[in-house]
Amino acid sequence: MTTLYVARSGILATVQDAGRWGYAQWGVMVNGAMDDYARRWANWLLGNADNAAVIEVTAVGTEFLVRDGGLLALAGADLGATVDEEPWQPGNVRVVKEGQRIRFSRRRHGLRAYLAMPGGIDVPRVLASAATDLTAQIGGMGGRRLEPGDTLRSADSEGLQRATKWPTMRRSHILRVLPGVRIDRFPPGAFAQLLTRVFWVGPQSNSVGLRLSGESIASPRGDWPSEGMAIGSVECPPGGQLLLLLKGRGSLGGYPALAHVIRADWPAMGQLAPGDWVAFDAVTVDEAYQAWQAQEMSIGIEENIAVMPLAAPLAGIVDVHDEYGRRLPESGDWVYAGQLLLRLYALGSYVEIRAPHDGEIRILVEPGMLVEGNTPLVELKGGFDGKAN
Amino acid sequence: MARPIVLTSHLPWCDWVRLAGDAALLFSFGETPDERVNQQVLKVARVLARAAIPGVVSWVPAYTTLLVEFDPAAWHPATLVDALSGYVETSGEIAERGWTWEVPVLYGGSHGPDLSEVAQRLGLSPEEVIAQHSAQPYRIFCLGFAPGFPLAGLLPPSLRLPRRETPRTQVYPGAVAIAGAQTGIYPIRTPGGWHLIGETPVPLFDWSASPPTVYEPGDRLWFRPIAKEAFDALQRARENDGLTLRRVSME
Repeated sequence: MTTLYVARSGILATVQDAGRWGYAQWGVMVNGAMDDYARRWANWLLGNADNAAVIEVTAVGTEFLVRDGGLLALAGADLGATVDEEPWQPGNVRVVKEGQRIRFSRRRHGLRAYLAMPGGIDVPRVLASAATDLTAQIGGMGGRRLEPGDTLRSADSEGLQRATKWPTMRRSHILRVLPGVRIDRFPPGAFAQLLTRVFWVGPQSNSVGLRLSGESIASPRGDWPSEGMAIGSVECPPGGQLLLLLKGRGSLGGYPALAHVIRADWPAMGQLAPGDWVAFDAVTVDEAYQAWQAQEMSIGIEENIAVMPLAAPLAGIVDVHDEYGRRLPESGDWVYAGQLLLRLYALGSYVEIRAPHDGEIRILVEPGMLVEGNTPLVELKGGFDGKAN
Repeated sequence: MARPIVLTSHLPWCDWVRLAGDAALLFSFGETPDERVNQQVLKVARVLARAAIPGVVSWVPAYTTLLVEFDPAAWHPATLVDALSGYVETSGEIAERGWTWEVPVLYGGSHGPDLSEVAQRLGLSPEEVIAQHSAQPYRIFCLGFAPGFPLAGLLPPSLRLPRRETPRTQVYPGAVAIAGAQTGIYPIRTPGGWHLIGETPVPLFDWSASPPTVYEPGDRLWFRPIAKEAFDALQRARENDGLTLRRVSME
């Protein structure tokens, strides 16, 4: 059995599985991994059951001491993980030995990393789930965050040692939305405001929701009976600042939903950190459905990573904003087929560079730069249909 | 102008179905939060609970609506609505049991820190607030906010106050509270913005039980004022051999 001793709790670390689903009719919150895509990758690396409980490390400062050596897998955000000062990239399994120290010391990309142990972490289940609910104070390690002195044991002693070069996290500043179930309670134009502005993740954000600041949105007036609030709902409480509901949200709420972040982008919501910018793109139900299917099928891809350069079709000036002045995706963002990546100003108009398929991008040019035709602008790595060609 | 995505407004058993994103459906049964509309909501929720449909991951019955969350890899929303319709139309009537539970309450003092202010704002004496609050049973419309929190009502107009302007960051478990036309009990320690008028010594939510509350939506809560001695005795009983709510025979 692998055994870890918590040496430092850091900003926040908890035990999480997929969440406490199926009890919302009793008012029970779901919780579970905020980025369930990354959590599942961590389990896949060891050959664990998909719903096995893992450690969710948020931001930095968490430190473990290995008590009993064994296997550990890491997926999700790059929080500068090290084993005895040696870097540990997400997407890999490590054999750790007694006395080694695992640190998360520098947040480079994303917000939450997932540390899996063989067979999952051995904790009691509450209503069939190992997920920690910090509000109700149940699940995981006694319903609380990990504290120095806690000991975490694996359920099994053996596991696979898989690795992937694929991104095990889909960070994106741009979240795809469908129109809200109560959009008719908003003044006309509220949805258009949502789709043409930039917002910032506020420091009061937590697992209940992301609080966004930015230009205020026309908020609805009225008083309605409380009703079930879907995860991913974009609410607009009085005051006009947005609230994005995450998996720790209460099942009932009174603020009408203006929009809903699609299922495939819930993992991206879980990787946004205070200070990050956020923008929203509208999609259709079919696009949302296809995005989720594609994401579901992408866990467990080991080989065939394709890196595709996208070149300038002609000379022009690089613009990293869209027609509304909103920021376009950054390096390290996961983008979807058809998404606008860059614009080139040339011959008095803008040429749009769009993603030919899904993947993680790296921007190779600077805003305002004058580039020649055929200059590589963006590298697109992976993608569901991006098998080596 | 952007509009909600309406799947259908032609089902015989609800007013309309809308998408709440690609992973949830919202069924509406009426506009006013009254008992008749809520009975329709709960009827469909009971069908859903009994059907245990794979890929339906959670459901939230409320005053006038039912939210159904599902895995979009397992269901296309329109297909799910058809399937649900099948269950609703073929399953026999699952009657609302409508049990009434007696809730012993020590009103006022440190057990109900807002009672005197509430009385003052309503133009009543604390004794009148207690008498009116405990005069009749209240229907539980739904559970939510916090695990097992019963949203019950409707309060008589003479007891209605908007919720507190500044919510408390911590409310003690067992707190009996009012807000607007609603009354409820905080089963666990959580933040809360309702007016706290009393406390019940009876534990309400048991994480190891399924279901974790003895009451369910459609049941009624009847608050019964008790004295400090009775409260203390019940608390001792709770420590010694457990304590649960008692059902009131309505014959």
